[in-house]
Amino acid sequence: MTGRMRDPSGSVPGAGGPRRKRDAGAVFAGVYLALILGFLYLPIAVMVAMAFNESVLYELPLKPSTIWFERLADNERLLRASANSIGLALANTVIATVLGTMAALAFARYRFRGRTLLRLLLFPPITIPWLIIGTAMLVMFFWIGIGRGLHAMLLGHVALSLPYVVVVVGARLASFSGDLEEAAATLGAGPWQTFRRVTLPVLAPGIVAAALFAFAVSFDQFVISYFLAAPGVSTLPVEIYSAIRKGFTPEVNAVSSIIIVVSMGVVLLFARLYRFGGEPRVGGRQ
Amino acid sequence: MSVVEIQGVTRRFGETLALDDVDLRIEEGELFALLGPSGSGKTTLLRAIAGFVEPDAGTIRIDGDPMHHLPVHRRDIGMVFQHYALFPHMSVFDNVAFGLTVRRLSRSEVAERVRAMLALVQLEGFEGRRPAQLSGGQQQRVALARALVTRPRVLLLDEPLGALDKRLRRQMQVELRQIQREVEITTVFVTHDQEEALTLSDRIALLNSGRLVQSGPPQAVYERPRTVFAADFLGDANFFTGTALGANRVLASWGRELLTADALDATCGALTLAVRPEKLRIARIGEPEPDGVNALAGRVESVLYAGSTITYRVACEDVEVTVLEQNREDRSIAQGEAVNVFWRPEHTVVVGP
Repeated sequence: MTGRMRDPSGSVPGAGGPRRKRDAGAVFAGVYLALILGFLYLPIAVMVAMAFNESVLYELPLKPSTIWFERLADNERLLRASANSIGLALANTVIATVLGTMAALAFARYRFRGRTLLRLLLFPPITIPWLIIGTAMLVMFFWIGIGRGLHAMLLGHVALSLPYVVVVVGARLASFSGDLEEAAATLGAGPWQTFRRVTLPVLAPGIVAAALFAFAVSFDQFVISYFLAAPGVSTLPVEIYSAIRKGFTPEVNAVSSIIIVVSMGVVLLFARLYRFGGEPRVGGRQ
Repeated sequence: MSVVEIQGVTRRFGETLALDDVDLRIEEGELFALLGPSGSGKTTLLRAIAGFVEPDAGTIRIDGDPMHHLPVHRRDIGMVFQHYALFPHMSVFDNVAFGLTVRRLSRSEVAERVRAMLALVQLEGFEGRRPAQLSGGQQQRVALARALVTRPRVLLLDEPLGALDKRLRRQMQVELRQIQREVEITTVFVTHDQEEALTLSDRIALLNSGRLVQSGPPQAVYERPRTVFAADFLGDANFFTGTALGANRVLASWGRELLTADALDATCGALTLAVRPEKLRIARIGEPEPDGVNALAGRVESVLYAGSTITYRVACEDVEVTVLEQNREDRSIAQGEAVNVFWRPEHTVVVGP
């Protein structure tokens, strides 16, 4: 990527035609990249900026202030909703990642009755609109007496994120054959040792990616949370939604800014620890 | 050192018989090759010894201990996989140490044995590397070191040199043989490469369609194949058909009498004979002829020059034969010339009815 942008010959003034052509290409690539990044990050940047603006009505020029963060600290409802959201997302991440990884292992390493059918049935929930799944869950949970509340939301979130985990971990599993586990067995490692010392470490990047997915699916989840929330119990997306309906306050910007910083930090950290999408490439390192 | 006994081992995968009543005995310290085309059952047999495949019938014993239902990790074997199966997340040291740390050996003993093993495979100084940073030949050596470091009773090799290029494969064959002798370990290896089986092993078992076709030392199997398949798969052969006339005499299908060293009598009936191309001699008409040999007159159909060897296709009487000659003579015989083809009776091998 960088090779296209950097000119190995250095800047030689008055160089010939091909060089100029490459410059035009580099300029175009630069503008293109800037547009994409702007499209993605400008709204976020505006929101973060407004979180630090003293004016309720988003007036410019921006008067720097941390008043909304201070207000947020007193906003009992928003804080409780945040705590609910984080707790729910964490619980969902643990449950969905463990269950999904086990399912992916079963699909990849064992032959059993109904394997193909089960595998096929994993995908439709990804494409069915959440609104419909949410309605179905609400009806179902009422019917069998689960009702509404955090426990019902957790069930819903786990069901939603499970297919993502199976797909992501399954992709990682498909990238290495069962040879590694067989090799471990010939070396005297029992099933548990093989799992702990070979399968799990090799799968780790996939599992981490799947866990991030599961966290995001739950943390982002509005429709199902909205349907399954008991009165007085809500999550952050649900709370933000009702805050907007009642009249938008920059406290929402403040809480959103915090979330953005934390989540981007986590993703960047893991992206550095594990390069998603395969084995670390071997550089010129000796 | 250990003995591997295979008795009546049968294994079915759905409709196909992958192994059909195979009996073999692999002696102490032997380097034993399982040779056959793909689908012959050689890999299934290796995997049955390892414990990845449970036979439907028959027994496998190592040093007299039945392996039946003994899981892979308790069989005390070492195995080198076709694509090495090195643990990508571990260094060379940790890969080799794996079998020892699983057995909970002390840290100092692990370090000492890993170092000795890496010295044996000439990979000192590579301890810290990842498998992805090694060449194919180096990965192969790590895999071998990892399999040997636990001092297993039996070493199993699944197409161990299949992923290497030809030159490197030659070199690794020599090294593998040396290391195997040095460690004195009973070794079973699977290959589809007949040359590899011949050069490397003490004994060969030739398999086809799940059945043991023939076993014995390379020379015995090559010189005296007992079936058309064995003669054809292991090297090349000219085949003739005929009828037994009596001791050592066969009437070929086109009416000429051929001599063989194999004992026969008239009751043997219809036979197939095989003669290796390199056993045939070719001479122009009029050049001196050896005595007491089989001789066929013919005409050269084609000449294939391959540097060290020349291959002649000769139309003889009613059959076409292939003659492989070392490029040793100062003469060359041209296409279309009239020639005689000779071979000694002991090179006429009866390979079947």
